[in-house]
This record gives sequence, C-alpha cells and structure tokens, in this order.
Amino acid sequence: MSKKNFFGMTGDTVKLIIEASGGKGASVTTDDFLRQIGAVIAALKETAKAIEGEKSANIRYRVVGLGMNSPATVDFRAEMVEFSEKVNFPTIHGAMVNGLDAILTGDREIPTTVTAGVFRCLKDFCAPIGGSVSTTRFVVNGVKVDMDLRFKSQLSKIQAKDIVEKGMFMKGMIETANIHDAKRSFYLYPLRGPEKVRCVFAKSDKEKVKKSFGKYVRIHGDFKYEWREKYPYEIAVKEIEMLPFKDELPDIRKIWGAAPNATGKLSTEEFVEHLRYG
Amino acid sequence: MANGIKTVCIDSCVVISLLKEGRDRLDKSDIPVLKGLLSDIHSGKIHVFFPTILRTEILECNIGKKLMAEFDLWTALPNFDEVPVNSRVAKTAAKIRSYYSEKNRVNEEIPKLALADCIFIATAIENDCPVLYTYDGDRLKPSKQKKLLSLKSPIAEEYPLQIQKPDAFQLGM
Repeated sequence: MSKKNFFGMTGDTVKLIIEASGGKGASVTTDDFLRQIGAVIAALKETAKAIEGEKSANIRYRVVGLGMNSPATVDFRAEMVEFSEKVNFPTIHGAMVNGLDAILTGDREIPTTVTAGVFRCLKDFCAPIGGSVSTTRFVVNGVKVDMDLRFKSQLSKIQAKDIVEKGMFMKGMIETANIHDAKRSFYLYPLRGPEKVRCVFAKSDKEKVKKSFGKYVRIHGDFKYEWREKYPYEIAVKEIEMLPFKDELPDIRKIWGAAPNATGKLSTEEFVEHLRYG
Repeated sequence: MANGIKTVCIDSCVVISLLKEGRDRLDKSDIPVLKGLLSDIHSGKIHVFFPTILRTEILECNIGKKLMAEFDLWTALPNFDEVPVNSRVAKTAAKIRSYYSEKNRVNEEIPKLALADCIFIATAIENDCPVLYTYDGDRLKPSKQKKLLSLKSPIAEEYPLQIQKPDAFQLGM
C-alpha cells in the first residue's frame, strides 16, 4: 500500500477536478461530465493494458469521493476484481500522468504507454473541453496535469495515423467469415499476438475462404496498424495459404543432425559471424 | 508465457547447432539441452519465433534443397513461427544498433552489433519474447565484434530481454 501524500491520496487513487466554462455559477452538462468520467477511466485501463497486458482486464475503479460544489471533484480508487492477479496501480497512474504531461508540454517524446487506445480515449475526453468544460485537472499522488484548450490543441497535433505494411504474413485459424457483403471479411485467430485480426478479401477469393473456414492458414497481405500498435487490426488479403495439419508435416526432430557439415570447416559461431560481419 | 506455453526467440546459431547435432558445442551439456528444446518444439510446449532473415542465413549453409523444403514445411507448425521484419522491428533494431555503436565508441569492451544481430533482438522484443536463445559469443576468442551473449537486460537500457544459451532449467528439463 502506498503512503498517503499531503492531498490525502495514495498511488491507487485518482482525482478529477472538472471546472465549468463561463465563470462563477457555471455548471457542466451531465453528458459532458459522464463523457469525461467514462473516457478517463477507459484511458486509465488502456494505460494499464500497455503496462500490464492481459492482467489489466481485471481492473475496476470505484468512486470513493464526490464533491458537488463547483468545481466538481471525483475521486476514484483502483482495485482488482476478486481473486485476480494484482497489478501495480501507482506505476499505471504515474505512467498516465507522465503521458498527459508529455502531451501538454510537448517537451519530450510521448511515452510508449500512450497507445492508440489511450489516444482515442483522450480525444473523446477532450471533446467537451471548450464546451461546458473549461479545464479538467487530473491529479495522482499530488501531481496534477491541467487538461484545457491548450492540452486539446497539443493532442490534436499528434500524428496518430494508421500505417500500412505491405508483404506481411501471419498464421492462424479462419473463423466468422462474412462472404456476402460488399466488404467481404473473416477473422483470423493467431496463436500468439492479437486475439483476432479482421481480414478483408477480394471477391475472387470467396471460394478459397469457404474452403479455409475453420482451417489453419497463413495469410499474406498488407497489414494495417493503428498508431504505435504492435499487431495489425486489419489485413488486406493477397493470398491465403492453406497449411498442412501437424501430422501431415515431417517430424521437426528430423532436423537433429540433418546437415552435420552445414558450416564446412567453420564453427557455427564463426560461420554466423562471417555472414554478419564479412 | 501465455496459456502455460513458453515463448522464446531463436538465433540462427541455435538452428545451425541443431542441424549439426550440437557437434561443435564446446560445453557438451549443451547437447541434451538442444535436444530438449527440439522435443519441446515437437510437443508444442514452447513457442519459437524467428525473423525471416534466419532463413537467409540457413540458406547459406551446406544443406540440400530437400532439407530446405522440409524447413519450409516446419514453418507451418503453429509454434515454429517465422515472422516478417516490419518497420517496427526495423526501427527497434536500428535504435539498438545505434545505442551500442555509441557505447562502443567510448568503451570497446561493449560489443558493436551487426544489423542482423539487432534484428534478432528486435524480433524478440516486438513479439514479447522474454528470452533470445543464441550461442553467439559462446566461443571465447579475440574479437571486438559480436558476442550477443555478453549483452545484459535491459537491452539498450530500455528493453527487458534475456539473451542466453538454451537453458535446461528454463526449458523445464
């Protein structure tokens, strides 16, 4: 458990202070209020995902303080769903503050914890700023970041565009195909990496997709990645390579001693060194 | 590790050592470990990643077309995963190479890495492998270059990755 700081907060707790536009007596609309709350929690969970991976799915936030006087304040405490593996909340919250500060100041590279998911949530979060919200202050462990029109403007400067990589490939199982719509697609379920990837295919591949359904394949094509994401979210299919089942493949143990003279007079290391350094 | 399956990245040295049944391994205890690694790949206990450039390095070896065709087929195994070098891997590789080149200018003890070395390291990092198996640097001989095994995690002070020989304990042998 982290020690409480002078704000009476711990690293497990996050405070939001939402100031309304229009000066004294002004108030925030419920839509904008709820939108910002939802977006900031989603951004925190996306940050957790970047740091803790799958474990982050079991994080939830509880409202532990609510101030109705202007400005409105909300305190959230992070916790794990019962019986799930713990994560380090101060690290996650610290990373969020660091990311927000890097965006606001523009004085350094935006940390990798600001993923496409976090970026999307922050865009959503900023939508009410300049409307009924003037500034929302995000406070963790005494460190605060003001998200105002300047923050919104800095965020809009980030070139968070998708990228396309040509000539990539990935193995997996084909499931849930839609072969009728104009945008024909199926989902590829790889063994490692993303849970699933949407694959868009040409009309001419319709029969091949039907035959490959539920089968193990290697998909070749152009991969679309969200900004900073490791794994593609969509593939423009160029080729579907049906792969044999394991029992149809030669036993990989046959590789043992299959080429005893593979590197001639050189040792394995010398051979590889020669290849890499000439 | 996901679903109880270990994930590792392998360097060409490891595959070549398999082809040569570990006969030039100096430490003979490496041989049963190599066999264990192979057995784990066969049984699906381990998921192995390697970049496409491993294929080009293997092609440089004295191996026949038949064996290369079999190698192609082995890449169809779900857990013997050849992965393309995308721009993300290339960028990480370049960043690592630049980091060690800078360090090498100041201290020659720090290895200067070839681009291929960095691509293997970056492939491990970008595919969430905690370990890269190699024998590069296992033979102690005078050389200011190479020696992946001398690198310590975090790589380039940023990426947590263990670079080591295939390890009996890690493989659960």
